[in-house]
Amino acid sequence: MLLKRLALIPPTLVGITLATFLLVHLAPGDPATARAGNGRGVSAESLAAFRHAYGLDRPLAARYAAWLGRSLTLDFGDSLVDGRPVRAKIAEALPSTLALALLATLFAYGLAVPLGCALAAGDGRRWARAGSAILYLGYALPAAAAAMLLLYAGAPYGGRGAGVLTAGAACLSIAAIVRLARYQRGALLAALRADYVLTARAAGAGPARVILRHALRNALLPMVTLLGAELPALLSGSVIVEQVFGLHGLGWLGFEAVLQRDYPMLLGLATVSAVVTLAGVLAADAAYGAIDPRLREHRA
Amino acid sequence: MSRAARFRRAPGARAGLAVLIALVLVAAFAGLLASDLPLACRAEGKFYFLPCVTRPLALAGADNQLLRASGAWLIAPPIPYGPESQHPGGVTAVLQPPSRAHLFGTDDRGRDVAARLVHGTRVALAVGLVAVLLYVALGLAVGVTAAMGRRADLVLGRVIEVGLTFPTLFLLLAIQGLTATASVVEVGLAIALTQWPHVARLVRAEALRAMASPHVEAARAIGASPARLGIVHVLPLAASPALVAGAFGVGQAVLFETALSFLGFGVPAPTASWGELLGQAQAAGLPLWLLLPPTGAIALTVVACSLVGDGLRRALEET
Repeated sequence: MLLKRLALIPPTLVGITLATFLLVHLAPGDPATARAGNGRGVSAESLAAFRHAYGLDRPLAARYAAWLGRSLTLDFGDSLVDGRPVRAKIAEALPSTLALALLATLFAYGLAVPLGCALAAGDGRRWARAGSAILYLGYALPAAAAAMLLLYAGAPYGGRGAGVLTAGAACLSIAAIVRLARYQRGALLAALRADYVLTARAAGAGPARVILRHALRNALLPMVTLLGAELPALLSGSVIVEQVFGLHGLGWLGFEAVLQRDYPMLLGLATVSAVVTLAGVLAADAAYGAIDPRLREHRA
Repeated sequence: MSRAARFRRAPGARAGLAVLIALVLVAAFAGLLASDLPLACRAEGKFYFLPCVTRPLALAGADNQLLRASGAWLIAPPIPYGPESQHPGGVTAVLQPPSRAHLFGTDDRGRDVAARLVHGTRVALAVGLVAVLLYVALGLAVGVTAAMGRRADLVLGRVIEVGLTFPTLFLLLAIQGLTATASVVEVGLAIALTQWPHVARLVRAEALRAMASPHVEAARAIGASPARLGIVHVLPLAASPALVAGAFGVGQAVLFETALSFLGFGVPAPTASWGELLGQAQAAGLPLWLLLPPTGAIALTVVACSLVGDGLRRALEET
């Protein structure tokens, strides 16, 4: 399984960067005219010189090949906005977003696992139904609204402090908590129907012991692989959360890059977010292999 | 138990469906619920029926408040303001908190928030519907094709997996930011382009199961072509997860539209949309009357879609 995942890395990287590359270069308007405003006071020669300096006058395929070659050495070129290397700007922004995503993942799993267990244990009871209804509401709350409500309630704004990161991560994790808790509930309910649980019950194990000692172990396994699916969603959400809380992370950079048509920046960001996502998927797979003894035996 | 009965038994499915129907009605009749012109009026000796729809030239420049002040007889819509009128009655009242005149207050250009909320339903539902129709169709086509043959699966299966690792909002922003126009269809298309792999993954799994079933083997034995096999024998079996995903997807698309409009990359101004109201709330220092009404509208829509999706899942489940 790990090998299969490793084989997936090159096509994913090429796929994401190629899609971004095509999108960026086939879109109407180009950075030369965007940078020169509406073209007033900029001569045709200086526009051409700008295009030549950034290689914008070469064919698409050649530009992609050249970009791919350079990006293998982590050289994503210079930002069109301030001329600083894309790598440096991303390196500055990455810690904020990584901290947000890590904290949000912690919140998500820390809350979703007990919540899912409680909902499965109380399946059919009134309070469990109310809990499921609240989960629906959490899923339906737009990230921007959740973030602004937190701000309204007095959450801090801007900077890189623990407070603003915690508030941002809390917002970011809401949707993930709902998805994971619902999944955990379903997985645990399925595990509780298994024969070995019946055996455990017959042997006199109480409900808490049945869940914690017998059923949960199996129901936890698929939760680990879900991390791979949650990471892209967390990165997506960071755009909104960073915007509302004034955090200068990858989401903020991406938003600014789109506004300014900063092509090298966009491509660099697409690559970095793909790498981060893939790293998460791989880590989840490795953890899965380490936890599940059956997989270990297969490999041996 | 019939499918309809199983749908009805799902908790909240009927309530969700009722809310969705109500929202569709609000969207359809937004022009009657909130308009700057009356439902009927008599002005300068002439009778007008539904001028809010026909918008007669003679009433250009007039609105409910001006007509009433001039002593004309009129029946005003429940919300007597248009979604884009900035000076109702010739008065500009910017960022007013809720009052008897403006139930949900006014926004930063003096427009009535309730009127914009009602008309925003149109954008939300239209974007949701367009996006879901497009990406369910695309997901079905790709998913079934992938299941048909080993070589197709090798390529399409990878394409699906790669597509699932895209951070959606990054891609959406890039599409929206780099293309010139942003009509409802275009926003829906952008969302569809980022969401189809999720449907394709579900459909592929279901279609692979169908491919292994006896009726497909029988069809193949009597010489059915691959196209016939896919469309007649596999597609109907693989369609139910797509249908469920579609119901949830409308809600998801509404959330994405909200996020895009919030960031300023949704349908262009001055069209009313819920996300744009949230964006105004942020720009104006978080006044609750700009923050809570759109939040409630969005949450209501998404919850309704989820409940209907859940009901559909139970109805279509093999028991």
